[in-house]
Amino acid sequence: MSTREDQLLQTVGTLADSLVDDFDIVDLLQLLVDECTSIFDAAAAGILLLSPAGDLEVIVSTSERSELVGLMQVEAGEGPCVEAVATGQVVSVEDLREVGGRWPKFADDARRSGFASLHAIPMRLRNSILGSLNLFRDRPGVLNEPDAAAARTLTDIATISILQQRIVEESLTTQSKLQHALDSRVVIEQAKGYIAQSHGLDMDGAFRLIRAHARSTQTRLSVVAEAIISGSLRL
Amino acid sequence: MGTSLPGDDRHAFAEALTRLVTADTADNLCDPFVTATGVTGAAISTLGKPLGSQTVCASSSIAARIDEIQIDLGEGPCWDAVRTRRPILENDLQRSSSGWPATMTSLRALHIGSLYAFPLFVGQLNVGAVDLYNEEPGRLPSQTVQDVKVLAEVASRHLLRRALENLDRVEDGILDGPHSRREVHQATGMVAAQLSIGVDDALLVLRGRAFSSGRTLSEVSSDVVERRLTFDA
Repeated sequence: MSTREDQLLQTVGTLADSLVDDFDIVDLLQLLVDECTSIFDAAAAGILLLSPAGDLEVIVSTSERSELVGLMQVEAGEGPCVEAVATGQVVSVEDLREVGGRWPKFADDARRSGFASLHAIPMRLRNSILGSLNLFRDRPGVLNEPDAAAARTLTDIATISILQQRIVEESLTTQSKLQHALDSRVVIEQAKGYIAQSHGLDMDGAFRLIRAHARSTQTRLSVVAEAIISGSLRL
Repeated sequence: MGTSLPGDDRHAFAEALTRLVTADTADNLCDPFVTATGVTGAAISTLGKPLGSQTVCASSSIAARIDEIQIDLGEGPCWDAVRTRRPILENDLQRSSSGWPATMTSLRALHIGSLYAFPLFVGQLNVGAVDLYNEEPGRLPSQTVQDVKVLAEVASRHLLRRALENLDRVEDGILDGPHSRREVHQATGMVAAQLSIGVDDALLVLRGRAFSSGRTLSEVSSDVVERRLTFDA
């Protein structure tokens, strides 16, 4: 196996470890951009994240050079890095000299910085888009397909780590919501069985009767169901 | 893991992890556990509060049965894994001296060699467990145990996300699926009406009948819902 492949697998492993152990999200993302520049032969890399308020921020980059931060066009609100976040699609620019018509300020800045091509990968899990991982290279060309797939995988795992940390922070309110949903579901099924038995109906018929009562009294279905099985409501 | 030497087995793990990360339905969550570890089979269930006890996926009918036994009886390795938040590794199931006598009797009748239960949780929140089994007894290598913990983290997130997505579908009732427990809840309501008792007692009546007749709670519940079985006061 090639050394490069070893390095890729080790990075997968390190990201995966972050799912189990306590970790600092910024440290993890810094490691991701550092490893990505080396694995994918990029000159620089950076990650944009959407803040809870919906603003894009450069959260980590391989260089503190202002041009790199500027290149991710947070302030201008244009360019491929922003577009990857906005569309949730990979944006690959083979030759930055050819995008002057589309993103003039970006194209100028990129040329001055000596970057020639760019690969912007959305950090996305289904409907949630968190930001983008951006790989800058100093020669024209696209990432080959295996590299593009590997970069997507690393990005996916990092995305899971971020989402996981956010869920942990919200887990207490989540718990009571889930508990309520579970109780409601169980109690609705039990009430269907109760009414099916007491009224000689099938489950669909029982459900229609319960729902009709809930609608006519403008009461939530789970409240009606609870009243039925506790014996305080007779339909 | 980050320090271990990569090899072909690391490829299998990396691929399984990728497939799990990108899985779009709950049905195919079990498969990556089997391919990453080389065990005979796997089953995943949500257990207890707050997600409710229900098998999500099973790679074989034996795997499904392993989880059904433990859900019906409310005890066994998967429950201990959830409670302790640690893997429960039964390397030799036929000779194990662990607790859960009723569960062990039923599990041993499946003629499997070993059973490994890993907890699923996200932060403070309990999700359930993944059960892996082998036909032959034996220990899981420590690297495999570590790998399963990682896969379990990803699976936990999937299940939690799915539950959150279904939050606003409460009024539709329990989601159907091959391992749905919906009939158990319906039968509980019917028995409560038949015997004029509360639902908690009605569930005990159903469990008692299942245990004394050597059948699963789902089978007995199905008989009640289909009106082949009635309880008289």
